[in-house]
Amino acid sequence: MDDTFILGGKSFVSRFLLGTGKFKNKTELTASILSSGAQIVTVALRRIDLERDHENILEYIPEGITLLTNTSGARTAEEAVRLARLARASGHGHWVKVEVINDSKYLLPDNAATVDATAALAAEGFIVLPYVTPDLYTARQLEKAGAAAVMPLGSFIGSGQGLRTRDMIKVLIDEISIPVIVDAGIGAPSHACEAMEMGAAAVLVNTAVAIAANPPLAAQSFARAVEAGRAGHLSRLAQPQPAANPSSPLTGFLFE
Amino acid sequence: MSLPSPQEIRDILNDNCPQRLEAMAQEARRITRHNFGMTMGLYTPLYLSNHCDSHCTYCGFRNRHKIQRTRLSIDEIRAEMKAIAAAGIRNILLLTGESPHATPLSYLVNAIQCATEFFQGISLEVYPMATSDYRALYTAGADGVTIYQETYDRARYAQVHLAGQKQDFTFRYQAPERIAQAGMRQITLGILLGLGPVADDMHALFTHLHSLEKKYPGVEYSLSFPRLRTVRSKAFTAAHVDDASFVKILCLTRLSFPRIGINLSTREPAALRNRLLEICTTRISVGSKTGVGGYHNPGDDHDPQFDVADERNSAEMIQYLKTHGIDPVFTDWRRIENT
Amino acid sequence: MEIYLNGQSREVPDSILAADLIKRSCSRPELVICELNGAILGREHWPATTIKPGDRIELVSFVGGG
Repeated sequence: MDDTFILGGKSFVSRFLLGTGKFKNKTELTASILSSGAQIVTVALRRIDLERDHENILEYIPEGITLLTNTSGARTAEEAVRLARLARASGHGHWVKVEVINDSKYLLPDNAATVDATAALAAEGFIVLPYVTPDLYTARQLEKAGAAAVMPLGSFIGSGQGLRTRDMIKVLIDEISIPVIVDAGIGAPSHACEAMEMGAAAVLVNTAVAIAANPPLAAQSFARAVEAGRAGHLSRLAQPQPAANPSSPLTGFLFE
Repeated sequence: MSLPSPQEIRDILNDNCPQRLEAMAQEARRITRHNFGMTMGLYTPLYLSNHCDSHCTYCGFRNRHKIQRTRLSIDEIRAEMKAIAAAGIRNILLLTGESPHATPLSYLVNAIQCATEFFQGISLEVYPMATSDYRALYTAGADGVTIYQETYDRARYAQVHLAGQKQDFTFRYQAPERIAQAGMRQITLGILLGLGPVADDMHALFTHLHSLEKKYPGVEYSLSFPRLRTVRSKAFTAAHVDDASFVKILCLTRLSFPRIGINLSTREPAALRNRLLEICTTRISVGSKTGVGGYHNPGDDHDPQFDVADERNSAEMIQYLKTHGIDPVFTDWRRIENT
Repeated sequence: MEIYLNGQSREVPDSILAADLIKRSCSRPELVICELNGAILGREHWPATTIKPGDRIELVSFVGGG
């Protein structure tokens, strides 16, 4: 069965996205990317340290990985757009995760500002993956604005609490036609598996891998959980019935 | 879990909303699949005799009906069983009319012993008897008994059962307990849909089953809902249970009893059986002849008890199941020694 | 002249070229992205762009992030 993950016009095998923040060192990061088979990783943009030389994260990300620049730090749509443009100017691609947060207590994204930034960036040809609190209206607006996917949070960033918002994520999966990539709050492989079983297109994990005692092993476990959940989801899809009444496949015949 | 009241059942039967029916069917299917998987048990009925001392106004075998009365000899029984087994079937249901005189215990025991040569599952649908008699059937090798109360409405019951032992409502009602006490592993109960008031009969059937489950939890129970059909186009006046109601009845049964078997006979036409297979049935009869014998020499069609509406033979039915994602189950489990 | 580099006030030689400013600010200029007075200054323009007094320059590069 062909289950290629198409995102932003590109084909991927892995539905496990890895964030690169919070790792104890960069070699652990490289090992985690390799052990998990992640093909898309997020990075952020920061002012360089003028006093000291620091290692550049790009040197620790293997060739061929798609970079998804997170606009983290942006507190408004304008700042997010500015960061995205900077990232594109680097020559390392035009994929952006729009993250607009003006809240340091919960780190909840500003859905409205995210929609604005998405519209602006999509119009400029970026592949936009917006990070939002799951909300149907927001998701519809994002779809209309040209987002390549929607990234609803499972629970608060870094909390590892799993799919606290599962019912709302399910609404998005059921109602939105662009991929739903669950991001934030995935603390255990079972959470990642659960998201995929529900029908999510992919999952992004950062903190749970970075702070694990053994990040490469953790990354591998999450990637496997994503595969298992995806297979579980696909295995439940019914075979198409040619003559079935789609809305009442079992009892429609009584009313024909 | 609480059983639906007669009024709740009536409300469901009167509800014409297609979406609610579909939702009920989806839930019934989900529960059935969880508990039974993608499987269907198969069995074939063999009528050993149509001699009957009772007069049930709705039955093709009724005492006053002028049909050719016949009873298979042990050699004929063997020939019939051989033919059924040759079609791949390993579960047989042996039926007789209500006549301890024509088909006494010894006759039934002989038939069962013969059946053990060919079948792993042997059930009987015969007249109610004493516990010790059921015990004899069990030790001979039978593992199941089917007995329908027909209707739990005493007034209606008296109205349609006009002669013979069948008139005794209570003896029949208490038979399942005696069957369980005798050690039988499998008991099938049922009502004849359209004979009595449907919602009340369903409620009474559910209550009967529920009390048996409590008292004899080791028994594997099944329910069956034969719909009154015409025999050779002789109509019997009864309440009409339409297809939608029939579907609701089966679904409601599944929702009320997640793990009991739900049987479906060849009284129902192929197209409807095909639909119901997808929803909540767990055992079906195949290749049925409902007159005495009829397998060894097909066309030797003695007067049938009811008209068969699904005439597919075993091979056709097996093929249908396999091409529709259902595994036909011939043998559920094997008897070692009925002790 | 005084300029603002990554938000901080700095004294740099007059008429310094962007390329030279960047080279002396970090060891790997090829990994750096430059914004001059709020607009992105593409790498190809660095050798030809003269920094003026009061200019605001942002030098950013990729770091780990979620």
